[in-house]
Amino acid sequence: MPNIVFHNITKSYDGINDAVNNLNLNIKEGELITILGPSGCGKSSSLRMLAGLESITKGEISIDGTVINNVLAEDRNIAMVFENFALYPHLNVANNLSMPLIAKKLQKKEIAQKVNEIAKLLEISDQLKKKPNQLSGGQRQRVALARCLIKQSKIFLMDEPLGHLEAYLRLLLRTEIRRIHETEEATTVYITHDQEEAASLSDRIAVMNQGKLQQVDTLVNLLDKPHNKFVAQFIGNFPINLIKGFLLSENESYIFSVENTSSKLIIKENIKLKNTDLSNLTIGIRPEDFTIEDNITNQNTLKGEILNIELIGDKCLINLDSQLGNINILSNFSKEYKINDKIFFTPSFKFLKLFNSEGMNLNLNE
Amino acid sequence: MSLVSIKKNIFKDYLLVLLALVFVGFCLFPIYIMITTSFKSEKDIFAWEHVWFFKPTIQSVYNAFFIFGGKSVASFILNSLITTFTSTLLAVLFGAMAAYGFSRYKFKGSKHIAFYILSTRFAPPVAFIIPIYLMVNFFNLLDTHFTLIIIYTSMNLSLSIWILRGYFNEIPIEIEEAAYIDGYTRVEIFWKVCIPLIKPGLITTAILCSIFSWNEFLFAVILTQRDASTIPVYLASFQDSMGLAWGEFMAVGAMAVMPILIFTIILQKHLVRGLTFGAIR
Repeated sequence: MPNIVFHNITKSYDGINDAVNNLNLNIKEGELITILGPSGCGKSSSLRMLAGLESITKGEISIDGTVINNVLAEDRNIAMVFENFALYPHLNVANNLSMPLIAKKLQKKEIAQKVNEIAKLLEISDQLKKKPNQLSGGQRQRVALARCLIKQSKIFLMDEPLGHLEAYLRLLLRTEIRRIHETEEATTVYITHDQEEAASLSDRIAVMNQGKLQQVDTLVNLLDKPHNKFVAQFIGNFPINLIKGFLLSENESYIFSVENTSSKLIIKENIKLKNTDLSNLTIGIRPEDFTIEDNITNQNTLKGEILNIELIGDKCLINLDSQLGNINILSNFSKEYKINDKIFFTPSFKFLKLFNSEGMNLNLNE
Repeated sequence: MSLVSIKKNIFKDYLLVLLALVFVGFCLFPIYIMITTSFKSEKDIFAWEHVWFFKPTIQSVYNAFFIFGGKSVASFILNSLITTFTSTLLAVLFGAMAAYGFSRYKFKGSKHIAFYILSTRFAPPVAFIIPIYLMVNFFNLLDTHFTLIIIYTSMNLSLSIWILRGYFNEIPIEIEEAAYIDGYTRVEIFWKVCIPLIKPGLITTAILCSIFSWNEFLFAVILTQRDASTIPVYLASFQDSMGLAWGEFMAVGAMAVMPILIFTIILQKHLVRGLTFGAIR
């Protein structure tokens, strides 16, 4: 099981803008890491540099301590699944699967045996004679996965492999990928923009934006302890509520005064202020971190009027015009609410997310 | 859909079929005349009124094949086959290699070079005939297959590069990248992945190149005299001071059409579009 290190990696296509900017990432052996980020954040470029399909502008990538910057793609012994499958259209499935083995100059008999084994594993044995254009999307994806596995590499790269599949197939193949990663004892780098997929698959998630690595952590930590405003906004099933204001210190607690309103939030949690300008802060509260109350229960209980209600499974997302401005609250579907109803709610500051003017989270213990 | 509109459509279909038949007749009529004339006696050929029904004779065919020009027609056809086959093979082979380069490598001036290659076809070939004659004569290569092969290859190369470049451009780059990941070198990818994928393009190019080489007359008539003369040169030799021997001319003409016709018919079933379908997504 190899480990992979990105050391100060920069990639620029035009010499002016950096698609990847000074990326430092240590992928542990046997780890399944997901690189998550919006389109154009540099996640695919990073993966392609690792695969050898893209040159490295600056920095070093090493596998097990050996720098691979100048090793050709065909000599890196890395297996990869492409976003759009990239099967050989002129070859049938069996021959598609044979290609990596022919390159390794294996005997015909051995190739046939391995093809049959892998086809059985991915349940495509009855498709071996078919050409890619005779297969469904799911079957093509399985063939692409099989071609990746048959190489018996110890590094798997997957570039949004499930991006073009139906929801149920995504679920099915997700489990398959995780299982294969474990049985093959490989190190896997997985790229996606679907955080649910990232969460279900990976040991750690690396969040990227505009070519820069934002944070590498487990999903729980990304949700509760985002390093910056981008991570807070990008991670989470529902958009985080960002409320601007300023902070005052008072008797071992803090008062957060909401911008343009008279509302105040009392924060009893300990905050590390690190010489910050307290007049320009943003507090982030996830829709799940509100409790709806029947009446005013404490100093932080606020009032709002329901503008919209969206049903999501057994929960509902309530859009409120409140004393904190326009916010979203996730509620258990225990009581029926109607538009224009007035409700009370209390925010929880268990994992306080307080961002300075640069968007950095002030409340990290690290 | 109402019955009336169905009837209208059927009428439209018949009309289309009729038009197609007229067009096919128009195209095939010269070939019909060519084949029938080669089996007519001289009297029937030169009759004032066109003779539709006649007693076939093989005199013209016999003359054309064994007597006229004092040399068997087979040797001219063989010359044509040698020059056409070899020059087509070379034009397609080198054309594919160059086209791949133009398609996959973006280097300084690549667009200009590609345009320059096409521009070699801008001037009429007759403009080059004297310098080429002098060169060929200098190297003592007049009346050789080699000369015609080199000239036809270079003339077809620009066409071949331009057609094949389009086909290479259509191959999704991911397929090649997948092949790199599978452990293949660029050269292996070219032969094992790209060439099979542009098969329809190779066939189209081969057909066009071979038609050009097979029918080329100007260079053949000036640069060859006897040993390397091709079939168009032989055809032209039927015109002499005594006039044109129509029967023999037509017999050889029909014979000259056959190889290229057969070649095209055999290859056209491979001209399938959308070979790369299903490769991605």
